[in-house]
Amino acid sequence: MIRYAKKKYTKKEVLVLLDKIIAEWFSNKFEDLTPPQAYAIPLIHKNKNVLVSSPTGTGKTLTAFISIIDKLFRLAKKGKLEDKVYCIYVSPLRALNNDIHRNLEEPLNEIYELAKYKGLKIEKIRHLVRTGDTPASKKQNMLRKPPHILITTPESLAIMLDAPKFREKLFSVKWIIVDEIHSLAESKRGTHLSLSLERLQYWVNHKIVRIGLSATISPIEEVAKFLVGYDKSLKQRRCWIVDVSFIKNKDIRVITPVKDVVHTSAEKLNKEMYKTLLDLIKKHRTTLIFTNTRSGTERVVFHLKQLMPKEEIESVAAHHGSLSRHVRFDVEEKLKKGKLKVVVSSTSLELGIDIGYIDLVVQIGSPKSVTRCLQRIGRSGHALHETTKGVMIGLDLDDMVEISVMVKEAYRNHLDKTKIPKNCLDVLAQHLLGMAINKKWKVKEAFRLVKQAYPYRSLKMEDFVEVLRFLSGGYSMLEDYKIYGKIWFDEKTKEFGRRGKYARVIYALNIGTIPDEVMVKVYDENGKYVGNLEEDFLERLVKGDRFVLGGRVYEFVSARGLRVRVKKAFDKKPTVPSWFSEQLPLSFDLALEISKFRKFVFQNIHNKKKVTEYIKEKCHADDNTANSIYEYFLLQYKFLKKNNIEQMPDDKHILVEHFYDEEGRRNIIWHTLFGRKVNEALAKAFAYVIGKKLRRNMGVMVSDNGFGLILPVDKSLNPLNYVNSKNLEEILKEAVKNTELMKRRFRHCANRGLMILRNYKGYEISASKQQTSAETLIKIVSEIDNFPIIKETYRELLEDYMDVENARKVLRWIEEGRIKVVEASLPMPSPFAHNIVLIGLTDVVLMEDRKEILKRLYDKIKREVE
Amino acid sequence: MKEILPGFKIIDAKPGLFVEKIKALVISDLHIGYEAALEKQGIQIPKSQYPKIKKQIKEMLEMVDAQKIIINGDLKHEFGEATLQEWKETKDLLEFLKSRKLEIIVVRGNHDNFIIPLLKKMDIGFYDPYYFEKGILFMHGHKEISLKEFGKEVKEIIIANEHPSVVIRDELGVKHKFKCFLKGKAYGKPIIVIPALSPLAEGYAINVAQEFLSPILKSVDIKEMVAYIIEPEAEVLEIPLKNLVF
Repeated sequence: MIRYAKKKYTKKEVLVLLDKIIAEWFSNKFEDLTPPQAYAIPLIHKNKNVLVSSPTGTGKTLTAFISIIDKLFRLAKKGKLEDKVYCIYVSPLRALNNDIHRNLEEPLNEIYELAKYKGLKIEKIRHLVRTGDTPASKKQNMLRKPPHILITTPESLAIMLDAPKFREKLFSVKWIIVDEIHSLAESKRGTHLSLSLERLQYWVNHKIVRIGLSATISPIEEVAKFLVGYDKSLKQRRCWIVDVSFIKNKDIRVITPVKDVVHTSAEKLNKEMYKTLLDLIKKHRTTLIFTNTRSGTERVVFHLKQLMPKEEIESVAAHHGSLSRHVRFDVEEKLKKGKLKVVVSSTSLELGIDIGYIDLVVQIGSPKSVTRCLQRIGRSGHALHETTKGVMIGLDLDDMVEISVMVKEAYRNHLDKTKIPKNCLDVLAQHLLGMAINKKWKVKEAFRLVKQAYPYRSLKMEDFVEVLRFLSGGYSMLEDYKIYGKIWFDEKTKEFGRRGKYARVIYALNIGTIPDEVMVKVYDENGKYVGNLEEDFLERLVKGDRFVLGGRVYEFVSARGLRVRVKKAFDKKPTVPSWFSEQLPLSFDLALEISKFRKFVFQNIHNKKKVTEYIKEKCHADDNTANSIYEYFLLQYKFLKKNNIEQMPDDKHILVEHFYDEEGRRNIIWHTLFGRKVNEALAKAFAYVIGKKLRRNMGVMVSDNGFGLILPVDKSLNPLNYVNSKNLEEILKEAVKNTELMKRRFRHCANRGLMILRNYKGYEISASKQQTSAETLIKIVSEIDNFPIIKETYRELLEDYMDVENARKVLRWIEEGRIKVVEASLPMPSPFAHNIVLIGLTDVVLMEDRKEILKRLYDKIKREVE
Repeated sequence: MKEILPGFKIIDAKPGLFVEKIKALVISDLHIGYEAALEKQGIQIPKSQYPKIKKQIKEMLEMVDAQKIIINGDLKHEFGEATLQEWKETKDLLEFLKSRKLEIIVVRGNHDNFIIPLLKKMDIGFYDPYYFEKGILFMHGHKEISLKEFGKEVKEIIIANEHPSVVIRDELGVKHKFKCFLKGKAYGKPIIVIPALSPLAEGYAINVAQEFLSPILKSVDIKEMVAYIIEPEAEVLEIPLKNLVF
């Protein structure tokens, strides 16, 4: 049962629960309880499972730890604090682990000192970090003297579950704290952790108390279920939710640096934007800027450094995933010490490492979801009573609409829903190997254990058995080959267990869910290093192809090993879209809100004042933004009217426009404002059925606001005659079969599922160096029915990469007539279609080239309607 | 059947060449036991390749009137110790060929070190470094050979080892890889390169790499060669490599 905590306790009520010394320490230290503390501490004290959702800077860490420290202290007082692990703290970041370690150091020391001062001689509560970075000698020490509080990552926890001897030290654990659970739950890392938790619970004789700490997230009940899982009889465990996500005041504004985004030159726009940024930076102590992409981060830092006064250049820093850990750590340290004036980040500073005093967050470009918007803005105003302050800057018209609606929803506390992946067979394979190393299992018992983890609640026995068969080297026609299986599996006695001495090594070296991306270095004609490319992308390039890297266009010349040579082609158009862009997809829920916003604006298109006032008031936008959005919609309206289209695209109408591009090909643009994940599914299915009818390949462009199909021959076929909510899934599977996308994802799943090991007997294996590529492997394993890795690849593609569920929903809406499709033949793409047409050029922040084209399209239409 | 040189035919888009003059089916690079080698590299795939290899050979034999079969190198994929199963498979294949009353000729490839005793035991001809009959020189192609010292008149050369394939991009920029035969001239003689029969060896993309692996071909200009693409259930497609070099 999931319940919300309603009772808010007073400081007095909470302190009487604690040992006198702990209570005294707390009283000396803090004036009052923070809201999460007032709700959660008594619950944790009573050994309840609790999920706490509250913003950073609200004393979340202490909320989780104080009651635990209290109980350990009482044991120490009685001389009963043993050399074993009592509490495990898990977080997704090593940096966060080090932070927590430091943050516990102070209270633990102070409490110890206070006790000493009071004449109590007690054993100190030990807390240590154990991750992949921990040297073997320290791990050895831990075996002799285990920490009472163990701080670790999901991967290291999974390894510990199979670590000889040390695993037994974990069996005494009473509490598990999962930090940043919102970021874990929606990824396979979380799936991985959920199984580790159940595996640990299996070996422990008492109930382990689970405490989850989360930033703003929805639906929070799902996350609570994810945290606690199911008991042995597969009944959901109880959990209390403490939701104080919205206690901080917020001040978010949408601003546009120039009056007319379309007709301002890229140069001027850039200049104005940096002017605005500088102005904001000057007015605040420390500003954190988010850019969405790494290349964007680099560019913003570069420009800021040029513009900042000389003595302040050192106070500008970049922080993103491609930087070395050392550099990132350095930036974090400087931030904490307040030495930086401004730090620019892609996504890496989203999560909760303590980054010190930030009084303003600037978001350049749309963060694509309300939740992410709030999480990022929430990085400012760290202390409880401060207001979080954010400024959002849109880069083009669609961006401006998006962030405006986003801010409106943020003020309504309307979060978009996250999704927790289900029944991932690749992650399951890893854990089954781990489990087999522990002991011999009855299939039924192991199956039940797995189903206790929330992501596997609906797992089918058939799939479970297929994974066992796969791991045991089954699927071979011939018995002799089985020696290479990682486990043995007897289908008659329904038992499985470890096989071979390498099982443990394979498990320890190949655990984890984040796939290796092989990066190649790119150099220009002068031998200057210009950036990195993913190897998969490189495989697609041939001489003469032009692509975007770091916001600029380059022409591919040649590749040798991990070195690529290119030449500059800055003034040319790219010919190859960056399919594997770093861009985040727009959330489905926010997309629906934007559709409703479209409806509102079109309904009031003749009342400029009403529209602009609405935008300014509800979306907290400035004049420039409100006017630009209004003009944008007005132009779309006039253009469609002129072409005799009466129905504007909104939440009840999908506009489908046909026009011929410069090369005379028929383009069909579907204005499906449902976010890229849904559009990806619709576009792929549509392109596949049409392509099959025409017996030709189709060009596809997918964006958050819609998708476009380029037909090789001038024929109009309605894909809705072939695709419906019932057959969508099957069609999609056919459509992705043997595509680049499938190969890439297959390799990731094969890595996770231990089919292709990343590290074997100490050899690092680069998948690309294999003579046998993913392509061949797919072909071979596809011939086997229900091969788990293939099954998982399809699942991941359809459910995680795309959003087949919501795509099905959209098709159903169309079938039921709740949404109507409006077809239009147009002389050129309508303004709303411009960004979709230019999709090949997307992953760039502030790209001049793209802006030029947008302007040209826009002006053409303007002339047309006037 | 596609005749690519007078008397030399590709058997219906399959990785086998029929030589009329000597009534021989020529195949190469079967790499039996490749799965085990992959396994040792940490890639676990189902062990179902041998039946496919056998099936392919069977089908080809049914389409031509062959009296002998020439395995032009790399019958087995050998790197160190092999499993019992691989031996069983190799033996099974040779016995199958014998039962068809075929003369079996195995040319040494770079992977064929440990099968010699087996071949001896089964009384099968093992030719190192080449097999020569009626002017046709069969060799694997991993080592260079001096034609001058050869003494006999070589009319055609048949090699393998290269695992040739080509990569073609479709209208949307997606690359597809196809196995192919290659035909051209080396040492002034017509030469044919046979693709790998192993389903696991998808091939070495000649037109992307723009250079050959085999020392026999090192002085040959890629652009002067012709590729014959074999894709199951399609017709053999002839494309000069000069049209395919990126």
